[in-house]
Amino acid sequence: MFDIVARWFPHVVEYRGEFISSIWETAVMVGVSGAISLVSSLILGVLLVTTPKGGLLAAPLCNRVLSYAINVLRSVPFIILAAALVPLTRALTGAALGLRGAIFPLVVGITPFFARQVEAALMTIPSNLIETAYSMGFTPWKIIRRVYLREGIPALAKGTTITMVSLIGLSAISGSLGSGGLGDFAIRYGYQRFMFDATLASVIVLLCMVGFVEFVGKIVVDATTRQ
Amino acid sequence: MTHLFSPSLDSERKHDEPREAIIRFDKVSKTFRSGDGEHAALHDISADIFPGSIFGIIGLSGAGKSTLVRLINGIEQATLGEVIVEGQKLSQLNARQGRKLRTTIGMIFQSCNLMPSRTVRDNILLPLQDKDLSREEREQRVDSLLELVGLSGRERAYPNELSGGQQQRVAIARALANNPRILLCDEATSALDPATTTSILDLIRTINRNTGVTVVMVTHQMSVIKHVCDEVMVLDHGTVVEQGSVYSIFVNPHDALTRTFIETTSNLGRINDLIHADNPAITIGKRQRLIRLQYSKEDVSEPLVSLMTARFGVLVNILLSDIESIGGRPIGGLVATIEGSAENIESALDFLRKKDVRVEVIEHV
Ligand SMILES: Nc1ncnc2c1ncn2[C@@H]1O[C@H](COP(=O)(O)OP(=O)(O)OP(=O)(O)O)[C@@H](O)[C@H]1O
Ligand SMILES: [Mg+2]
Repeated sequence: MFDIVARWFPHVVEYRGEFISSIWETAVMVGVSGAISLVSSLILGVLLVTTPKGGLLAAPLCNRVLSYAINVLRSVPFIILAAALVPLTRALTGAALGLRGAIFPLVVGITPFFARQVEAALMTIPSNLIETAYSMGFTPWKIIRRVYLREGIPALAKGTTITMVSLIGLSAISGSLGSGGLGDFAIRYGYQRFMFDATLASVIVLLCMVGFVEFVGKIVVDATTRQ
Repeated sequence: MTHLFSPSLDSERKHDEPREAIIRFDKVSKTFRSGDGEHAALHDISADIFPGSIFGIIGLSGAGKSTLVRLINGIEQATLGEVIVEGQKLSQLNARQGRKLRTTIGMIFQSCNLMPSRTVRDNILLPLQDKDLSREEREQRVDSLLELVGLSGRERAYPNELSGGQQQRVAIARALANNPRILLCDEATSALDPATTTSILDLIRTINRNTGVTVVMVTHQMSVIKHVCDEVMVLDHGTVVEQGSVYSIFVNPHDALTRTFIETTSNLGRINDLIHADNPAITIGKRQRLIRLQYSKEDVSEPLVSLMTARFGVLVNILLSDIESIGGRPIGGLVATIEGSAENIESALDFLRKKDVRVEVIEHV
């Protein structure tokens, strides 16, 4: 078994310590930036859905500004966004490289996308459910918590799965900016030093991670969908 | 347009002391503004709804029925006029007072609007969440509501596992969870089959009789009004065309729309189908007329027809007859051909009119 691995992935075996720690780094990058982005995207997504005219927290101007800002951020390619954020990242976290430097640009890069996913998920909730909650005398906050966020769980889980897959992709891109992780590993060994097996091994692990995310996502969606 | 409170209606009220309306519409108008202009959904509506009554609102699609009930719990706001609920002018309530009032008003929707991710029990618990109740009290309340609506044992089901009628029962239980003083039903039975409709309506009436909750019932079916309501308002294009006790309106409908609605529930309405189908049973000869009679005292029917035949030398051939009970009081009617000279027919019909029978000569098509 080990022989086969050693034959096909000689360099990965040679640098296995670094390979394993880069898997770990990717997991941490995706996990931490995903968690931070989840919270901010839920807030932004709820605002996107509730602030239009006639909404629960109607504030049309705020809605337009927010929506515009998100569109602008989304239209900047991630590699450029991350590069542009370097000074800010350094000021905030004290590092532009490595894990610490990677998380902030990832959060900024994925949140606009994630917020739109949350918005789309919350829009699937029929307005008559909101009206029903309103007719029970609930405050807007309670309507958000008890209807939007609770009844939206299956759709939110779908949006989160899609976002996490994109985030794994972004985390690999940020490898080219020296963030660490599997992208970094694939570039430094596989690309710059022509160790093709390093690239191949990175791809396989990334695919497994995507598969795992989709698997967990499907379990959550299936367990919560009641239609 | 006018409020047709016939004098007989006032004498029908059981209570002599003036009652305070629990819901009052005072010259209410509602205009929707949208991109392409204004749309007047309700125009100058005035009505009093009294505590403990079941008040029906009937009208064709788009008449403004839903808009009118949605004014009561503030889902919509009046453009002009004032909606007064339990003595409070809704336009003068702040957000918190509005929410407090809404917790005392239950609402049932046509589409049930149950929360799909919650079990039956959790749906019924929803309005109780902000109540200062212990866990046991809450559970007990849900159990007794489930029993009331006949769904004990289904509390762990999800809405998508229930039939339409069962879902509507859950919605009723949920609407009643807070012991509301007002229950709004917007087409609560429109999506259900006749047998289920009857059982749901019976349930609502039982609850009304037992708890004294005031019910506002929106429908487009006169049978629903006949079955459960005490008072009725007929809405047409946003205006009230008729209003009064259900009995008085069945006995003496003034508006053509009201008559159309009534005919849909009565066996006598079938005459129109027969005419349209050119049924040979109703070929009308030269000396014949097709008449519809309606009377409110059951004992008068047969003797009157016999008397009339004998006294005026006319022949009466009964095609359809019907007797029904509305609010425990009988209303009878028949459709018949009457044969004789024009003069004799006229005097015979006058005789009936003097005896308080409503007479209508159906013009042939
Ligand atoms: N939010 C709204 N914006 C604009 N117009 C509206 C709105 N809600 C209702 N309307 C209009 O007001 C009128 C009355 O609507 P409403 O829903 O009260 O009728 P309805 O009597 O309940 O009809 P149905 O029996 O079909 O439910 C309709 O012409 C409708 O188009
Ligand atoms: Mg309606």
